[in-house]
Amino acid sequence: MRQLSLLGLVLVSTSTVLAQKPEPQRLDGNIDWVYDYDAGRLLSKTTGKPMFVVFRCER
Amino acid sequence: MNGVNLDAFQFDYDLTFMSFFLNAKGQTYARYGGREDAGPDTHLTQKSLASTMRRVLKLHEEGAAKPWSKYDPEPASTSTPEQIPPMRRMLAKRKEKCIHCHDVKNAMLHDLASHGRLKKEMIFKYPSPKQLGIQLEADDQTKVRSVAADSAASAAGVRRGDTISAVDKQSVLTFADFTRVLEHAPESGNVRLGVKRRGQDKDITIALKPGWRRSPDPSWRASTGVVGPNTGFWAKKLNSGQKRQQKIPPSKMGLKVVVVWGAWAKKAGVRNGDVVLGLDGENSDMTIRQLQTHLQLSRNFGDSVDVTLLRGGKRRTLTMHLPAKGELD
Repeated sequence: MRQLSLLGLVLVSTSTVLAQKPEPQRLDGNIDWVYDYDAGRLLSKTTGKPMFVVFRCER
Repeated sequence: MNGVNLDAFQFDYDLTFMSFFLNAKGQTYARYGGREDAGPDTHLTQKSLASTMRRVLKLHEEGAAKPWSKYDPEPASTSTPEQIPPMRRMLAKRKEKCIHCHDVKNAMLHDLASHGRLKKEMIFKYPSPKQLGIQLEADDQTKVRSVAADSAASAAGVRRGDTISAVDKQSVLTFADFTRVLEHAPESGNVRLGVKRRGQDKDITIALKPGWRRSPDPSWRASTGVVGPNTGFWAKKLNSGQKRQQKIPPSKMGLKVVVVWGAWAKKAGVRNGDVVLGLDGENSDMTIRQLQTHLQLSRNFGDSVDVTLLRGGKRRTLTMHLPAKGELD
């Protein structure tokens, strides 16, 4: 059986709408989190993996 | 939440953790997170997250993306927090430019208030199944851990140990999935559960009681501050020894004022060190946050309320004239 895994996305800031938008705090660990939803969707499409999108309070 | 597509990611913005399992088209396999009155992480466990991930991977491998339903987000539109007019005013007033989840809900409620459409009940978003009397297992969130006596679920025949596979025909894997369907449930009417019991499939219809969304202790919700006035002071709950000393029964309110910031509270004469024994007829044992919430849900801006307090061993009652409108109105 093909080994499947999830793509990890942390959404804290994805837009260029707000000039003073804060930079997301990068997470440590073994997961390569993606911090941009559109980039995550593209990656999901090209890799065939489902997305795990997380909203967390970071400040 | 800066720039996040609110149409694609709809959830209870009062909470602190939420996640979604989606395919590349943005269709939802499952939601994970959410909270209820009992605490921020009653349904956040490693076991349940791992089990949800396994189920999602299986669905994904089977190509079992659900057809679009009313429970899926609207893929076409893209509204962001910054487009809600009160959000711009909120951001302009503070240094912190990070938009928190609860900021989004507050801005939405302020926006409704500015159009005269705000109702206090609107803070009760994404109701927990507990509102029907169903307590789910934390580790396996399709399983019923207990059913409250005299609840709507109990009357409908939901039993401990039942496995809930669908709510209103929508398949559910998690507590958050369940709350998503309940968010769309009517104020009065029914919710239908698809249940597995000892290998048998059953359909159970739960009749929704009036006011079923209103949970008993919403004091964790930041949004209560939008729907009503606050006390204008902050206070610390007395411990049992301190209450004994002041001759306050354990079941009664005893809150020592530590900060007075509201002009209405200052004008009424509330001072640091006062011990609040009751407010507007409410005198049961509670925290200041619970008292704030009680006031916000039971009173309107511009109302007057009595505060009973203890100062220098003597009881006195002061009248507070609450502010005529909220901060952003």
